Amino acid sequence: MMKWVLFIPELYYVLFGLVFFILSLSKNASSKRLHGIAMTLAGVGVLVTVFCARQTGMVFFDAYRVDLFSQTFKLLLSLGTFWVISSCNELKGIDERQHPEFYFLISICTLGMMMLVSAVELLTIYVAIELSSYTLFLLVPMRRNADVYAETGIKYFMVGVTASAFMIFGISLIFGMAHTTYVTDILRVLPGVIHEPAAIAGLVLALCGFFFKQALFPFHSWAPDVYQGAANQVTTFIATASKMAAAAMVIRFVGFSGGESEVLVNVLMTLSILSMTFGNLVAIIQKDIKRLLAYSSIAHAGYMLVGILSMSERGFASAIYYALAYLVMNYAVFMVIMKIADDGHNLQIKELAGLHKRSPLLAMTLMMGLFGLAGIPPTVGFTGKFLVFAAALEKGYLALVVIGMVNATISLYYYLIVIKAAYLLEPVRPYPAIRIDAWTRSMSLALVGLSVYLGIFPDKFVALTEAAARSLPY
Amino acid sequence: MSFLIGTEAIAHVAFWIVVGLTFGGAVIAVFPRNIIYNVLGLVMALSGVAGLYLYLGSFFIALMQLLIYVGAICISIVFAIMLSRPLHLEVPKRSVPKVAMAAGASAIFFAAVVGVIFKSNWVPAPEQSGDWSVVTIGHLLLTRYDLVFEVISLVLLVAIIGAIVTAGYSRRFSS
Repeated sequence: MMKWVLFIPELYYVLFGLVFFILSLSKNASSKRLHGIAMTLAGVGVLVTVFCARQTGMVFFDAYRVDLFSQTFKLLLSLGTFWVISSCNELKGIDERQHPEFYFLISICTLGMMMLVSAVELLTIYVAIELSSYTLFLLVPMRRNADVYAETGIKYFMVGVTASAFMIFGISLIFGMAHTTYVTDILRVLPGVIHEPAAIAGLVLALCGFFFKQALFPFHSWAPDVYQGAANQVTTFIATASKMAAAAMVIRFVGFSGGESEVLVNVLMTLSILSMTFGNLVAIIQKDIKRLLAYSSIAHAGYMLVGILSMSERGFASAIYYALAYLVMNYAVFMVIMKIADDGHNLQIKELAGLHKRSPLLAMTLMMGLFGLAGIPPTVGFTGKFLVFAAALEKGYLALVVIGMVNATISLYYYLIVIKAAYLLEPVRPYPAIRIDAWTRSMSLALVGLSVYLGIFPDKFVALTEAAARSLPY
Repeated sequence: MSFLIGTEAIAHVAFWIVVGLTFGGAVIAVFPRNIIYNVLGLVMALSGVAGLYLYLGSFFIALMQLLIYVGAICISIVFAIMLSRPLHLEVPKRSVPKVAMAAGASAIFFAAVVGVIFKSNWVPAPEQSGDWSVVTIGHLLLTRYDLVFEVISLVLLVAIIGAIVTAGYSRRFSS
């Protein structure tokens, strides 16, 4: 009866949201104090998810499954949220009167994504993804000079609603085929009927909702505008935490097919190739660093899909590892952006000029993050790509791996452009000095250390991701 | 016997009227340029859907459909329209290529879905118990669908707060 302890992380984030709901009513909360409260709450949130990491069980009449897979992702989510909130100490991009709402929405979004990774009933999954989408729809236009960026919010909303409509349509087809909304029953029934067109169409359409969140190829069009138009902190949140949840759900839904369907593999392969190639080629010509990272995120969604479409335990494990790697390296890059553009403006690549003199530590963090994204050893990005490609090779998808490698080489070019700007270019005009506090300094060192450590000694984390992939219900 | 056939025929005719209402309403909801007509079309389509629920034997859900969608949601849409841009302003012209592309894309999607539905081998689900009383639905909402039921209220809370925050911007800009 008292299984509610399994629900502690979620309850904690409800509480988190509630605190800021109440704070949003008070008139005289300074943004410094709000940030202090948010950071404490988010930090405790990480601890809570760590303590709950070993829990397993089912709650809410089998609609909610707590296992190592979900808990690993919850840990990543809470970590991503904590990191994002930790770099909000100067939230200049957002009107001060809206800071309580900002933290409220961030915490509820984290809650929605946590529910998403644990939900094993289609209706619950749908409502959870809507919860996290709504909060993001609201966070994106929350920026100073909102009239300039209003278009961004509307575009994000329109693409999101379309994806969500496709998704609910696909879910209805899955329900029509499997006669159940429970994932465990679907996994039993669906592989038997996977050769029916309706089952495949249902799965692909249902995946659309998550592809939208991942910014995979046909649903990528929001990414560059939203990355550019949203406040830097919101972009960081979208680029790190929300990608984790989407990756987890793609893994869960692709698993529905039981690896029996050639058609589904071909569809996913096409999407992955298109996504990688398109993202990397368009990224080359970008001038704004957030737009560049948006296109790079489209490419990375493709790499992650390479591991997932292998549909083996190793493939799923490699995708989880890649998600972790992506969190670390992407956050490293975004943290540098947030620090350099501390007044909240959009950073151009040429503004990075001379960064190694203005702040050697940030320059190094940026470099390690970009090396990771490019997949250069010994960073975590290399190990992630290696594991993903190894899983695909195991299944004999040689052509896919070759295309992936070529793409990684292309991507190296534009990442190096940014590094060149930071290390070799001389600034055309003197830029203001960068102030780094002790927290940023230690975070930089921690991120650099983490990305090298995870890259050289991945065995423990690989073991964790493999155990997580094993705990998936099949 | 002929009496039975008579009622059955009436029921049949009524069914197709309901279907017609749904489709006709959907068409009105999409095509006219005046947004008030669109809302009225939506009211019609949603009432038609309520009628379909009636044919599926769920009186309660049909009533809820009328109450929530027709009664609440459409009225709030009308309010939103009243409070936003004045209607007498000139609407921008529709660009023909865009309309053609939208129509083409929808036609392809529709054809694909119809193809998928006809090509698939649908297995009928085992008969459920026909009990769709309010008591059963209430029990289901507080047991099997408890989590969804609760989370939806959170979604609504977020939507309300979001509406307030976003409307706060526009008021500042207009004044």
